[in-house]
Amino acid sequence: MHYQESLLWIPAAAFLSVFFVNLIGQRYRRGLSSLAVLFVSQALLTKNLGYIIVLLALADTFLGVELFLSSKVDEKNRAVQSLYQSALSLLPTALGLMLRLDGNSLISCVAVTIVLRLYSWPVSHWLVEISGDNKMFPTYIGIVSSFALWHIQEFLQPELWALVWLSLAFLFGLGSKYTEMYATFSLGLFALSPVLGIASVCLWPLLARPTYTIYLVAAFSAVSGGLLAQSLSGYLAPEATYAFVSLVGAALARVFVATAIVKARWYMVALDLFFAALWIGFLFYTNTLPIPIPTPAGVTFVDSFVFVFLLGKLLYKKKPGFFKPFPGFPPHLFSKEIIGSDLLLERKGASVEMGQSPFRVLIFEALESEGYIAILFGLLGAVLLWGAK
Amino acid sequence: MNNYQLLIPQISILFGVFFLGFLEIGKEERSLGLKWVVQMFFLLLALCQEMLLYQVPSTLFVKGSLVLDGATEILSLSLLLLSVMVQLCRHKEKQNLTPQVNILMMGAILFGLVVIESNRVLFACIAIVGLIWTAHGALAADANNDHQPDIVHGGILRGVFFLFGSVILCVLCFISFGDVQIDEMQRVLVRDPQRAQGLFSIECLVLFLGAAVMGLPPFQGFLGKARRASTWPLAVGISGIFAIVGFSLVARWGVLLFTRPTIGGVGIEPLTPTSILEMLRWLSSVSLIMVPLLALFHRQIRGSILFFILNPFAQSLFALSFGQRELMGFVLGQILMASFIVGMIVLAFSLLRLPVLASFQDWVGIGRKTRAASLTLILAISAAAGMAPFFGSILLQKTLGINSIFSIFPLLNLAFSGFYVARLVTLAFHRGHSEIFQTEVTMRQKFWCAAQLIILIFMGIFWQPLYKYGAFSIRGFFGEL
Amino acid sequence: MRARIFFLVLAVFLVTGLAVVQASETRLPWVLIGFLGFIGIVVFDSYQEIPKSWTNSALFILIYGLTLQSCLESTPDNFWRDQAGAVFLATILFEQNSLPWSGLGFFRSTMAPSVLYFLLVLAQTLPFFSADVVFGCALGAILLFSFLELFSILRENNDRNSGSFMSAIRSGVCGLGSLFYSATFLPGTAKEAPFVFIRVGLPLLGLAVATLSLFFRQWRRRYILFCCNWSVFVFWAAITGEAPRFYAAVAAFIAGVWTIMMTNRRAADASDTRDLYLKLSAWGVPGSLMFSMIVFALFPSESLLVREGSVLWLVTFFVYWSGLRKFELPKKQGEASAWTWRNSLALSITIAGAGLLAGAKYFPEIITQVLGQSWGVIK
Repeated sequence: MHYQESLLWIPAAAFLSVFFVNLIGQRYRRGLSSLAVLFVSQALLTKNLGYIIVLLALADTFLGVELFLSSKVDEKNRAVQSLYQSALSLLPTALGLMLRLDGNSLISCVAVTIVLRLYSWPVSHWLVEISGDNKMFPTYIGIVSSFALWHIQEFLQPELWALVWLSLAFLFGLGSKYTEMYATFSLGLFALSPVLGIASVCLWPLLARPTYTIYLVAAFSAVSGGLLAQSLSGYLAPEATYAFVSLVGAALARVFVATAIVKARWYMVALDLFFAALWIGFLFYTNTLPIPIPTPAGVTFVDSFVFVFLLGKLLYKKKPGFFKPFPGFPPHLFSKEIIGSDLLLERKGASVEMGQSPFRVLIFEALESEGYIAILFGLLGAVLLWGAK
Repeated sequence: MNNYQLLIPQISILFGVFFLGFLEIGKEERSLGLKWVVQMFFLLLALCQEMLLYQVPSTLFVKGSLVLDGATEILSLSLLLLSVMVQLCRHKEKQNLTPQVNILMMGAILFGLVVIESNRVLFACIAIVGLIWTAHGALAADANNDHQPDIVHGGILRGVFFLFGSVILCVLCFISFGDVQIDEMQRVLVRDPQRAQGLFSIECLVLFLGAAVMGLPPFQGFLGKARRASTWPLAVGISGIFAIVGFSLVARWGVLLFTRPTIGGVGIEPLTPTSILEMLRWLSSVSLIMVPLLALFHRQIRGSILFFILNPFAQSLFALSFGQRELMGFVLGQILMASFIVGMIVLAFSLLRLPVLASFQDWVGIGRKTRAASLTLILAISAAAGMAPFFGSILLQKTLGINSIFSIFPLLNLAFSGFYVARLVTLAFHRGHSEIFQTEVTMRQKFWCAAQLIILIFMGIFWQPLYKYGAFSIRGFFGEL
Repeated sequence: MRARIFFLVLAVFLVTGLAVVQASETRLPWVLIGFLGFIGIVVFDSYQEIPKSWTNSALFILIYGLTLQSCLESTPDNFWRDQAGAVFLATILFEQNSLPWSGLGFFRSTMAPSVLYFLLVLAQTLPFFSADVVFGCALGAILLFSFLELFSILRENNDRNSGSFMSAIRSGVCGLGSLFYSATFLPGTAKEAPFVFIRVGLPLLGLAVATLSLFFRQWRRRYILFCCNWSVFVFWAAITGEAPRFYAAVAAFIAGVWTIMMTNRRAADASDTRDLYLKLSAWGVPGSLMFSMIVFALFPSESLLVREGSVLWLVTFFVYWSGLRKFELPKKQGEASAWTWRNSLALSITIAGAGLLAGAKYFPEIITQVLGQSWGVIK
């Protein structure tokens, strides 16, 4: 690990606090989901990538089982589909691990896994239907598991990964949710500076529900984006950098504009703010946060974000179509065909039964006779004579 | 040795020929087995006779034996002609062959006899070919008159195969040895050891050809079928003539295998055991291939299984032909197992009440109707094939472990035998309904089946004590090999 | 029936006792592994098919005895002969207990591959073959037996053999044989070119079979292919030459045999979650005993070929799992399968096996130390 171990506990604590808060708010308890939360927390505290994958797989299984149990008989196939999708998402990292890749190769594999797990666009999230009213789990499991995979990586070229995450933010900003965009910037920020990355994790409690705390999240996202934008100088030309970060800023702003603010119980919001502040305070207490110096690229990003955000807020009610996310793929595009579990009808193979063909009968009749012996003896004699000479 | 004692084998041959001719007239199935036994017995006697005679350094007895040979043949032929006449008188109404065929047949017979008496190797081969070809044609024509087209086609095809084989043999003889007389072959052996070895090979081939003509097992199929297929009495006569011709060939030419002639005081080296073992190896190699093949394509299941019983014996013979003492214990174990297998098959046949003419199609589905009897039969046949875990597999392994190019034959034997077993098992358990078998098996019968199966399987699993017992027994009987 | 059950259990223990008495120190673990594998077949025989007839019981005991005996042999020839005997008797069991079929297609009978197997075994005895050819024959024999059920995959009613005791016996004999061969008789040529590439070749073969399974529209036939692949997977893990992976292969062998028997052969009942969980667990999905074995057996290796092979195996399992998601779970059917103590035991074992992964952080070191000390003489 390239940062202090005490920082390891903050993400786990933040996630558990989210779970604790929402447990209070839920009308009923879900044992399997709780178990999944524990396993994911364990993954946040583990330094071994192999163990993390295993723990995440187990957590996904529990969530898949819960989905299966809670869905109707006709829809149970979706649970199996979800389970497969979650396992498939872990495949790239597992392959990288098995091939003992290191450096950017392994990080690329992890990044692919994160992309498959984090975003609900263009393919709907594998846990989108769980819990009915409570949409928290798909959000948090995607974010937290992505962070669990990311936080143990060794970044030799953090600026490269900042560029990667900014690019992904622009691409997936066309349809993803604000929480996913926030997570994207968190991951990029972590690559640049672990302490700042943990700082973004401290705000996880604020992602639970899109209330007015969304503005805090938006602000932090903008700042994170600006910090990421400042590190692109080594990879892009200045003009390209400004254009690129402007577009990303606009994409990010669109996401926040399109997110409808909902009303929540005051004590829930208070709890969210409390825990967020608690973890931020703990972070400040235990670590010295670096103070980044703004650069033109960073300022461009922030300006672009603020401009589009404000414009969006003004225009959203009149022209909502400009800011709505692009539609993704239909939910069951890849699982349209359903195969019945009934038995196959008997299928007869090619007949190779002996003795049916009249010609074959004749040949075998002839072979059955002693004629073959004469031929065989003749051949044997030839071999013997040849051997004798 | 007493000279009179030397005459005993010769006289016994004479009587044997009479008896043979008598049996050839009979058409009963049961007589066939008896005939084969008698043939084998007198064949051995003839060989012993010739061997003994040639060991005696006296030209008088050599000439005397030749005279007796001729007399034997004339007498036997007379007997057969007599039997033919009797049949003709009895079945006068059934003579439906054309006169041309009749003449052809008689001419072929006389020509063959003359040629054989001329003592020339090449002519002997041509005579045999001519005889068999004519017989094929005659039988086919006869069958055609009886409206049995299958036999006609089969007969013609058989003739074709035999003709080609015989032609190859004749060509070999002619190219290698020219126009050699049978008696002169011995002199060739004396003067030219290089040619002797090749000549020896030709002798062996002709010997087996004679056995085939005579209808010795396992070559008995054609003659038996010909006899059954045709109601024409001449066919019976012809098959009898074949028996005599073959007998004569085997007796006369078989001498050369064991001879130690001292004609004119010239001695030659006896044929070595190595050559004999090699011949045995070739014979058993052929048997290893042909026994499962013939069983595989046999139409009647009972005949097929009975024929397949020869398989473990062929494997034993093959192992013996290497002359290695280490294999003797395994061979004894194999023979012991084979005899046990025969008992199991007899038991299974009695349980199933297997009809003689039951075909493979009648076997279909038997495994689902009666497990005890069908499983007994299947496992017995598997053991005969040499499949693991039965004892035969050990013998196969040990035989293959000998560094020899002949190892291909046991592998081929296992391939064909294995597929034979696979065919039986597949048919036994496939969808079908066997109606003709007896399927009610009592508990006591099941117990006997189980007991035999257990013994058979234990013979394979606990083979080491069996091998040790076998090796110990062999040492006890024969001393140290 | 009760008499047969009593005889069966008694015979299993008797045979095991005999084997234990005859076994040396190095062979005793193999007897115990074989016992663990085969006792699972007896215990989890929910449909009581083995004690259904004396023939089945007797053949089962014989196959078990031959398998144990093969692990006690001192020479490869005798080992292969005993294995061939077990293969032959297992194929007779297959033919006897399969539903009737048309008989069309000679190689669709399981007897034909058993004959080929014995031919390959005998070919190893030929002294003029080089070590490469001999090992090639051995490899061919193991693969042939692993894919025994592939020959009959297109046979009518063959899908009913899926999850049957015959399939479990095949898996047991094949698994134990391949493990023992890898540990005891594996020639040096297996670690040199070209045979060293089977560390990638076997997984490629598994992937090809998994792809083939996608063309079958019946989950039972796919499961037959999955079980065949599992046998190859166990063999591959054993042949890589790494001790922890070998131990994982042993555990995978036992898990595979037990899982085949633990799966309810009747169609899945969506309303019975336990039954469905057991059914899905049979495919090694995450949260199952088999999945734990997959994880243990596919841990990263120093060898490049083994790493590539691991990747291919993981992709293979994903191909099988991808097929699972397409199957329709039927609505509650008229005849619900009764939940017996066997099913409860199976469920407990499956959950416990899945739970092994929870302690994955600690178990591998502990297991390696414990097993390493007791298996040091073998490896």
